[in-house]
Amino acid sequence: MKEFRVAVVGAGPAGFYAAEHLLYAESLIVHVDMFERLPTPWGLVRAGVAPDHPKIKSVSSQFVEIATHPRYRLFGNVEFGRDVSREDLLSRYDALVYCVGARSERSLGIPGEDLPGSLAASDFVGWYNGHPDMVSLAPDLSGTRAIVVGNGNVALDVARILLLPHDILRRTDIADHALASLATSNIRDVTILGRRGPVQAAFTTVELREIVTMEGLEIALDERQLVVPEFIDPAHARRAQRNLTVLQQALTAASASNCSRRLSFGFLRSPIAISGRGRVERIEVGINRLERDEGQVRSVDTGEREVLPTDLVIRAVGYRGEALPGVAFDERSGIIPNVGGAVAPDAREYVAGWIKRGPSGIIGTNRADAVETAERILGALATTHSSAPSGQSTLDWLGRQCPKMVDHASWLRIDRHETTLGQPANRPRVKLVTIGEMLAAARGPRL
Amino acid sequence: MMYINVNECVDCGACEPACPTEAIYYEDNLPENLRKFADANRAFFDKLGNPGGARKVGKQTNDVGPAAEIPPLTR
Repeated sequence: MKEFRVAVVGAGPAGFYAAEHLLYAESLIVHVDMFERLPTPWGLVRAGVAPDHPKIKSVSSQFVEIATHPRYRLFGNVEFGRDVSREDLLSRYDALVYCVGARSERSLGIPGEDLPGSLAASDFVGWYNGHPDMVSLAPDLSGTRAIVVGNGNVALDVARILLLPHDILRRTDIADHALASLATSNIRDVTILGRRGPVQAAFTTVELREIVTMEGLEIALDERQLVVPEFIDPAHARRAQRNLTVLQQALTAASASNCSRRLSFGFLRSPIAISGRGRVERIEVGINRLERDEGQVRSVDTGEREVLPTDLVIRAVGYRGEALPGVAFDERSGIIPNVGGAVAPDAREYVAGWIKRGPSGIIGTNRADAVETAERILGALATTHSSAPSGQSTLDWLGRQCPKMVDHASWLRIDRHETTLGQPANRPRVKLVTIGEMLAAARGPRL
Repeated sequence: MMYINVNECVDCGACEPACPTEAIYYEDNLPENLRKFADANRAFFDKLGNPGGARKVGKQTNDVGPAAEIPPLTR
């Protein structure tokens, strides 16, 4: 059987699902080398999924399993465009798959967005999850009020982490610096803003129910907004109906007594400007109404304004992909242009996951997405012969190019180190949050 | 019937919108008249345990509960 070598760039869910489909192909023998810029794999499963969602995080056991395949290698702490170039990889592999995700946050494009106290959810999430790039974010949680802009699950995650009792957080793998900071947080009042209504919100029902049933949390929203409109997108009708029911139940069930914290939903609200003296003090919002526009439901500014005092603004309006050096990129949509995962007809370059289709869906969505791409790769490879140098020669080259490369065995040492640190406190792991600490653990205990 | 192992499912929810017959529900959202299918789903794994994914055990033919009484569709 013909043998090939494929490089997967990015060790998140899309990368692992692409690797899995290539490794288990029945028609060809494919060797997969996975490049990852951090010393740790799993992408947003490690750095995105909220720490109080261990069940979702347990999807990592699938990645652990895939990584045991004898034709899989991890090259961690190697950054595409800095340590290795596109040309390097094209000369050493039969195909490249970019699975780099979407690492920045879309901006609101409003005045005051960059004031201290205004944060991107992607940064805040990276901070509480111990992403090495965000260790020094140090959000100021000394105020009592926070506003989260956005109506998706990331907005719910951010609100939940701000509101959860310390007793729950301290049993998770939340980064230690975030645990300490949240322990002394004064935030008691969180408002989630969405430009459209509860029916159009992208919350999944399970996560919405989880937050509104949190103990000691008062739920506030305008009951008049909880009506089923005449027009409803049939694709989302089921979820919309369930979300409405959950919000209705939350309103009737909630007794405002004994609540030390409050979560408000501000539907039909678009941020207009953030202002304050030297830092965030208030946000001006425009009040919207909904209009039907060719099957879509659009928010339209009524011209009415509201000013909400706040100490913190976190924008969770969607992640955004970033360009890779030397690789085509569509600035408007934030993806690498592709047809079914192929960057160009004969390019030997492919994409999977968020950088392919944009930041939508849930972890499992990336499996079907990556399988589509992997099928294209297998189809293209079947008609050619490999011209890739041997795996050993690539390993030797990489050893010279990136002496601090973290291979799979080294990552397992980091993993074991972290889980061992977690044991005394009954936590799944205590995350190492700097590259230096990770590299020290990767070398293993000193003999 | 398709069965989901409650211990191995990670609650990602990707199957729910993908199901062409809208047959997949989170347990909390399951209508009362379909409750027996949740019990059947649980019973299916009595023998299989937690095999760590479908790939290892291959195709199973031992439907349980209401599904066992429905003759297989032929296409």
